[in-house]
Amino acid sequence: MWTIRDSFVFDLTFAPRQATLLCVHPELESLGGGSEESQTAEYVRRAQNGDAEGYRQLFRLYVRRVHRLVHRLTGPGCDVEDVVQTIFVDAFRALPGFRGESAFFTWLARIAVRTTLRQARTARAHTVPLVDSMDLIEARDSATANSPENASDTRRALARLRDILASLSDKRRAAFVLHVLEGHSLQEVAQMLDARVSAIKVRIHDARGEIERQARRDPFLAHYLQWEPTP
Amino acid sequence: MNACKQTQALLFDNSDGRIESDQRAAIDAHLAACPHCKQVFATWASALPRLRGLSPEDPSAVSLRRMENEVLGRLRAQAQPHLFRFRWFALASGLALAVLVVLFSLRATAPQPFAHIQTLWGRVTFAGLAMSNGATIAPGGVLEIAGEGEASFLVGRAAEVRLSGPARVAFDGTSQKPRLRLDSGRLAVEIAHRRADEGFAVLTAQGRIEVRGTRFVVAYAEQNSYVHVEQGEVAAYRAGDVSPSAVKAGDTFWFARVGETAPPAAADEIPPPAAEPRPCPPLRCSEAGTRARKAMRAGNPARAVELVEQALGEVANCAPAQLPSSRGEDLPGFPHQRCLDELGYLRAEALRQSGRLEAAITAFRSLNRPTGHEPERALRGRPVGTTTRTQSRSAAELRARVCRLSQRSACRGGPGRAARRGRAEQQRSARHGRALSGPLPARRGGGARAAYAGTRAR
Repeated sequence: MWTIRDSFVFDLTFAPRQATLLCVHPELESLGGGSEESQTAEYVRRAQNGDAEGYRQLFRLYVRRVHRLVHRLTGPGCDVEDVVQTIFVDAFRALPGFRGESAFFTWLARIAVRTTLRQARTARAHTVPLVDSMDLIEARDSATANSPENASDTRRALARLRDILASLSDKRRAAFVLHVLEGHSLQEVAQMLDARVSAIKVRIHDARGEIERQARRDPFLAHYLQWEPTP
Repeated sequence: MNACKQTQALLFDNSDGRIESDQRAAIDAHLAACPHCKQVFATWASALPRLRGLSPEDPSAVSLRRMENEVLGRLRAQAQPHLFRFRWFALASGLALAVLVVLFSLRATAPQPFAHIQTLWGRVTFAGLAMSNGATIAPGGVLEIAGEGEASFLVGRAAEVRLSGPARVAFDGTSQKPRLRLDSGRLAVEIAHRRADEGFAVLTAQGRIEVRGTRFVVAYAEQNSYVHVEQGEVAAYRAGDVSPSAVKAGDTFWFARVGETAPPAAADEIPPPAAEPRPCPPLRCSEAGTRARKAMRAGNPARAVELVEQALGEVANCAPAQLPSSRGEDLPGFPHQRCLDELGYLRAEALRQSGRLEAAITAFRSLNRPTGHEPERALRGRPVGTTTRTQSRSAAELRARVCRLSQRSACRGGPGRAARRGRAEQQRSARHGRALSGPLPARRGGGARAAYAGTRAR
């Protein structure tokens, strides 16, 4: 029984009658039949026992979320894919020490934030972006950007937002991205950033004020977010 | 204001539905009363879906495949070297252990050659036959040196013996426990520490010496024989004695008691050489060293060993030219000892290059002289920065003292080196178009005399 699963895109089997569909092998489906937490627990257990397939499945399960997080945490000119690879290598190397005291992604995001900010600092010190990030970003074909004009607007707004985020301090940017854009609770963000919840609240408050102030000064972004621009 | 901050902190938790019912009621109550917070909530509630929609596109399947391969490849690469290193380490350790076991077993089972000649100088015969370098010596034979000469040979394991002629020595025992009977002459032995199943004994007409590892000299003087220990300790037995006498480094032991035979002059003093010491020939360190180094550079270390041995034989067992010294120190002997040291070093290096490692080790050890000339001893242990200055001052003092004591012509000045230097400078200046009216005033009278006068003034 072949099942279409969005999160598995690698072990592809070409089915003649479903030429455009990406399918998951039944053996993997038997592993992935439960919730994400139970799948993750199984893959972590296998990886901790040295099973390469466990590493592979964990990578496939979380790579998109990590990629999105890294993209939001880094500014233009950063090699996102390189950072993602480093994060997973660091995480898999530290996986034997993961005891399941927090959710796996909380643990992974903590490594991701630390690695990303470290590499972003290095990139800021050593690299100069040659092209604008707008040329590199392919925005999601969302409901608001299903036409070429909307897609172009989305890419432009995304680039502006990324620039604004890049102007924030690392702590404020990380707290805002994790809580507001990624949707993690304050407690989870506090765990990821090794900080108290009160400190996270302050950082998000400051970041929110700064982003709103800068976004209202940008007529295009203010219009995109349906805010009144500030002259 | 504090209530506004608390409410706004829950802005996004409220939008994401992570608020408990009682908290939601409090927020609603605050928003009903606070138009500012209500405005903030409305602003961000409308913008939040669009902000979250500003998300980068997921990486393509190709990118994901590439990243996956890269990550797993890096993990494998980090894991494999350990295995690789471990395997190679285990393999190398096993091989090294096997080689050691094989070598040890071979060494334990292979018969050690009794003795073989290292170097010869003079007329040396063994069992009546003329010897050559590398010839083996069998137990039961007698080695003789007629007249002046010297033979060095390795006996058993790591025992280097040097026999100075005229001398006669008979070999006995086994390679593990050789016995050398010295009938005449002088025998210098340097022997590595013996194992439990090894021994080494030297017999004279008046007694015998048994050693476990040391450096010593056995020789005859008049009708008596003695052993002088330079390093370590030997057990000396007088003829007929059962209990040994321990002779330590620096001590000399006479085998025949006073009155038994012609007594030595003083038993506690370092004994005189067997024969009247011949005066040392002119030092040939420079010439012999140059020739030996040239032979080593030419890839013929055996020839270098031969040359050095020959030069050493000429200056060994001779009395350096005795010059009076105000402090009684061995000042004139200093260059003689330097010559011996330099040649000894060259010999050790040549032995090493020729592959005779045990002999080289023995020779190198013999260079580690516990004593030395006082200026050299004074330099030891000083900070590096002060060495040069002290050394130069010591050299100047030595020169001045030698000049004063030996009344050499160079010290008396005159038309020697200074005059020649003045003429050379005059000619050089003339070539450069500068006329000089005469010798340089500072050089008049001779540089060496001026230096000597300055030394005396100090």
